[in-house]
Amino acid sequence: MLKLKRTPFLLILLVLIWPSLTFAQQLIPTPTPVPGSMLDTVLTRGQLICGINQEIFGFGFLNPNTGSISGINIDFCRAVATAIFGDATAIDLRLQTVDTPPTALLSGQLDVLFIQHTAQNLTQDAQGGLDFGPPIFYDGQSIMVRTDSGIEAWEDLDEQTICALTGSDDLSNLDSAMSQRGLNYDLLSLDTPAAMQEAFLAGRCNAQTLSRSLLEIRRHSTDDPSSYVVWSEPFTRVAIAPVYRYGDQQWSSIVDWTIWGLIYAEELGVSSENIDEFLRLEDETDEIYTTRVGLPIARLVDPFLGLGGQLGLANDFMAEVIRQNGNYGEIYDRSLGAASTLPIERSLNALWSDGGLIFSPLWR
Amino acid sequence: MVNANIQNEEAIIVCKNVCKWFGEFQVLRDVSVEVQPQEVVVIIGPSGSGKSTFIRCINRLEEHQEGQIVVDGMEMGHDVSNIAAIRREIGMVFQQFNLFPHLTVLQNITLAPMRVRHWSREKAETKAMELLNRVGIPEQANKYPGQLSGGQQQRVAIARALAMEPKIMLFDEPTSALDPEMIKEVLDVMKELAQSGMTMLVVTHEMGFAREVADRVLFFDQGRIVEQGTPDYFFESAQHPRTKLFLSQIL
Amino acid sequence: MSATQHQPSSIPSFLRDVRFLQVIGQIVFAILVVFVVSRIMTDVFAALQKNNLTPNLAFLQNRAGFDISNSPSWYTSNSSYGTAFQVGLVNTLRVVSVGLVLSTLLGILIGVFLLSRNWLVRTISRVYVELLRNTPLLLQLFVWYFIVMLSLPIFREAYTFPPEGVAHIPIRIAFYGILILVIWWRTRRWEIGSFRRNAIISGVAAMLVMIEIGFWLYNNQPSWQSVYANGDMTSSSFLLYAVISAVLIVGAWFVPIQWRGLTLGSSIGQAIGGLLVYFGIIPNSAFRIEIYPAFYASIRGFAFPELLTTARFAEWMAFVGLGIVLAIAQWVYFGRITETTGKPIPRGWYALLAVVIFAIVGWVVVGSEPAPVSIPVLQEDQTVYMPLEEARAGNLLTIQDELQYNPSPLIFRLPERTNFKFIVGTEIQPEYMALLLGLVVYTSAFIAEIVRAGIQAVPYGQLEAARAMGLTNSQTLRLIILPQALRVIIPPLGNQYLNLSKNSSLAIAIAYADLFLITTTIMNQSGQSVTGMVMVMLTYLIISLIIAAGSNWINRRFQLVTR
Ligand SMILES: Nc1ncnc2c1ncn2[C@@H]1O[C@H](COP(=O)(O)OP(=O)(O)O)[C@@H](O)[C@H]1O
Ligand SMILES: [Mg+2]
Repeated sequence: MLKLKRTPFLLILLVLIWPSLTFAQQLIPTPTPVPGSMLDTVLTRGQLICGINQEIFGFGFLNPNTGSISGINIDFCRAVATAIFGDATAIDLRLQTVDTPPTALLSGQLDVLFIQHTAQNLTQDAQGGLDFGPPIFYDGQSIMVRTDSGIEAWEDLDEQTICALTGSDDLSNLDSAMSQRGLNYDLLSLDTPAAMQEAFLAGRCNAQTLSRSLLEIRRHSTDDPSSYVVWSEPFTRVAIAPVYRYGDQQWSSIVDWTIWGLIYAEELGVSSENIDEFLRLEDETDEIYTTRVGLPIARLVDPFLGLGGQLGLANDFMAEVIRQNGNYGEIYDRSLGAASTLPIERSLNALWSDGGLIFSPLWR
Repeated sequence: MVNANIQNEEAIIVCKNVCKWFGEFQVLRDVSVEVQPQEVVVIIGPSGSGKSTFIRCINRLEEHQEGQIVVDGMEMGHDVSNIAAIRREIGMVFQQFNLFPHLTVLQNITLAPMRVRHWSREKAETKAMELLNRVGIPEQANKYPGQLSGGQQQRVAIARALAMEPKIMLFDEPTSALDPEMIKEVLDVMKELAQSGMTMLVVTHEMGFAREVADRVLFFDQGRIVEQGTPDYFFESAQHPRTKLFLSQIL
Repeated sequence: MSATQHQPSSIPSFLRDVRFLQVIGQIVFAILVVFVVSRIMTDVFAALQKNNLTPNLAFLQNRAGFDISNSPSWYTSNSSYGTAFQVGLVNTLRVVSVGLVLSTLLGILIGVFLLSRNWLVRTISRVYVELLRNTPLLLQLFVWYFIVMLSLPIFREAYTFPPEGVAHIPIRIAFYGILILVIWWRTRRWEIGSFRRNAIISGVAAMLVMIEIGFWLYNNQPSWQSVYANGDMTSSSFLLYAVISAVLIVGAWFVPIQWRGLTLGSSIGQAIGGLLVYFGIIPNSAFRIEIYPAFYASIRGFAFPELLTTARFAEWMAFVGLGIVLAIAQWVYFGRITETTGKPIPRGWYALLAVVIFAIVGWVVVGSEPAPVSIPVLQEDQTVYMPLEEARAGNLLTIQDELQYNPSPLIFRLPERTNFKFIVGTEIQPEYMALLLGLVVYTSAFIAEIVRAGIQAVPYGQLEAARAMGLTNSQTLRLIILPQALRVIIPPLGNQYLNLSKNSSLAIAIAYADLFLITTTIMNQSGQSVTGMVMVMLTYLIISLIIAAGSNWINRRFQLVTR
């Protein structure tokens, strides 16, 4: 009799479970194209929605004491908002976890994604739905050691213990870097970044590997940053870039050229401090103005000669962007460079003219 | 040297001023008894009067704190080898049988002779079968205790105690846990044992048994021996009011 | 109660038949299960197929491309995923098998302590059990790894035991040992009662301790030497010493009777000891022993001496095997004798003796076989022949040469280290140690409770009956308590074994490269997460089934004995 009573119960259970199974299946994302122009949508809404993260100092970090959020990812989001609204505060920041593919962006809940972890790769491009903007930060995997360990080059890592993150690509990158050089090592793979840092600081491993920026951040979070060294030359290359949905040419151009504009501004020496010197005075003709500041700058910041109109923005949209956010160099310095608590050398992220990889296409 | 003072040439158990406390509570108060070889002593008394505690002191299942207990010339003290030697000479039968459930009847009986007396298996088993015959259940030898009735189990327990060829047998209410129809079979075995000349200390409420078999009856009350004497004296002309009260309630 | 109850209902009778309904219920349920499972499978496969990740086992042949901490010699990053999986399995089994044994032993010990009559022991073990049972295992593992293991010193400053250096063992220490043994042995025969025996033995021991303190003060502590040291004792400090001794001796009479012998003896003994040193009667000469560490502990792990088997090991094992065969034969034979004559024979000791004798004889015989007069060694890239000793002195022997030519069957080598690793010695990683300790300590708390409950399940009357029959304590434990307690203990013990084996997958949190950690890496690297998950699940299932089968088998044997 007991069995008889149980069977209907199981049936009911199944009936209840069934819809949730079907629902779960729908969670596998499919790209949902948003009809109409992105720019119009954003303009009507009055705010730019950016996906960001808030745990990585210098990139996107919510200061638990002050409640303010800062980092280059946030600044670039602000820059895009300034380009559209002339107002760096017209942003709505949405916290994103690391999920691939980024479901929230694909389903239209975000306008653009500025997060640390999204790196361009072929599979993601090929699967469609997403597109990547210009890199705002070049990163790569590097090595962190104690200053007094005497480990300065790859050869010194021979027979040493190296900490890495379980399940990450770092493992195979490290392995190929080591085996290419014919070096042996002992890998300690830890489950969480915090555990890894703890093991490294305690001296369980002689070196740890992560992306260079993260290592620098960790180094500066220690009591005495000078007792650790992060190799400044990464052994892999990763570009951190904004991500948006594929399909809206105008929208991608707005994001791309805002970033390039900031880079170009640095190249031309236009900054938030001196922007006013480069604006057209009231009675200046085109000729006088362009001879004073040069045609490239005029194309960037002038209401008449500026090129912004082609993107559906104000011709001189970059003037506001630069005034409110500073140029690329200023943004970098503020969050990652000289003005921050963790100076990370610009190296790869220096302007091309300084031997780096950062440059803007022609403003023409 | 001390022993010599109190040792009666004939007594096999000598207790002198035995006192025992459980914490603050005094269970035995100056108990002094001498038991002669082949004597059958029945101990009666109200529940909680210290009967069990007393006979358990005799084989050191309980430790007395004051006074002396000398068994077969050996003093019961802290000396481990004395305790072992005394226990070899004393068999004990419990109210709850306490047979070993994981061993057969035969194994229950042969265990101690083989392990303690170092008999050969053959000798131990012969003895065991002889005893099983004596208690009337030879056919149960290869069963487990759980398969026997209460009376049979208690008879096995008696056989198990006898297998060590003890000089003294202690019985602590051997029939109290039995159904009425089984009491007789156990008492019969005990009577036969008494007739064979075994020294026995029996705690029991079976007054018929006491009257018929006992050489002497001890009456315990509140840890003291209040009165003692032959069964005739005891049941006919006991003096002490506690004894009279007890007998009036039980008879 | 009326006829209405028996009116035929409108439902056809077969639908009211319990047997029919049961069968129908089962069938409906089975159909539903099959349906749901197949639906899920198709969905999962479709989703995976879309991402080019159709589950199959072919990927196991691909190159793994990652290193594994402390991996065996048969694994490199060039090995396949399949091999990596095997490494994980081996590592899991390594921790589970050792963990089962140790947690059982520790659990039994603590379980017995829980029943101890000593208040302190009982309370400490109770606290141990409650503390460990009621905190999450993961937390405990974190403590073992991040707090205990990671605070060990760095490699170069490893703790060593015994500390390297030179020890001076006074010759007299050897005599002390012999003296105590002789007294212990002789007084057994004297039948003087435990009181006097205690007094004598403790007196001699206290005297010896006092003599050693005297030497110690004399050698190391000049400021204290006034009390016992040779020559320099001032009259006031001698008085102090005399007063202390007198107080101790007199005080001993006020100690409870059962401790009096002990106290009195040691008071008198220490007084005599002091005098012996004071008058310089005992000589102070010592053996000089060079001590090398046998045990190292650092954040990089633990190192122990290693035991290697040489080419002659097999021969020696033949001797030992012969000894074992003889021991068994002897065991059986003496068992029969005990059965037939009843004479107790310590056959366990005899068996051990047989094995030991054969081992020693075998060692001598095998070790004395002539070694080759000269052996080939590589010197400056050339093979040259020279005697073994010469090669060894010239440091030309590789470990393989040693194993081939060394005449003794086993080589015992103390750990040796360079600046950053051990070149000789058995090593244990801190991750393994932390996981093992965590699992063992945690599981032992549960096992302790099971053991306690098992022993308590044996009625007290059983113990009393055994005692009344004259069985010794160890016989009572072995023949009466354990067989009954084990019946109760074994089934839940099997459950704890299952728990331990499954809990071992928490290794990932403390970086021990077990089955689960390695499979996680494989899944990330290859993208074959469904296959990986299924493989892990099946493997744990098989391990669990083996443990369950084992404990059922043992359980059945014990139940059989009972009834
Ligand atoms: N182990 C014990 N701890 C404390 N008190 C006990 C213990 N055993 C018996 N007692 C007490 O000692 C008294 C005498 O007990 P017992 O000898 O068993 O009496 P009897 O057998 O005459 O009924 C009783 O009051 C009993 O409660
Ligand atoms: Mg009683």
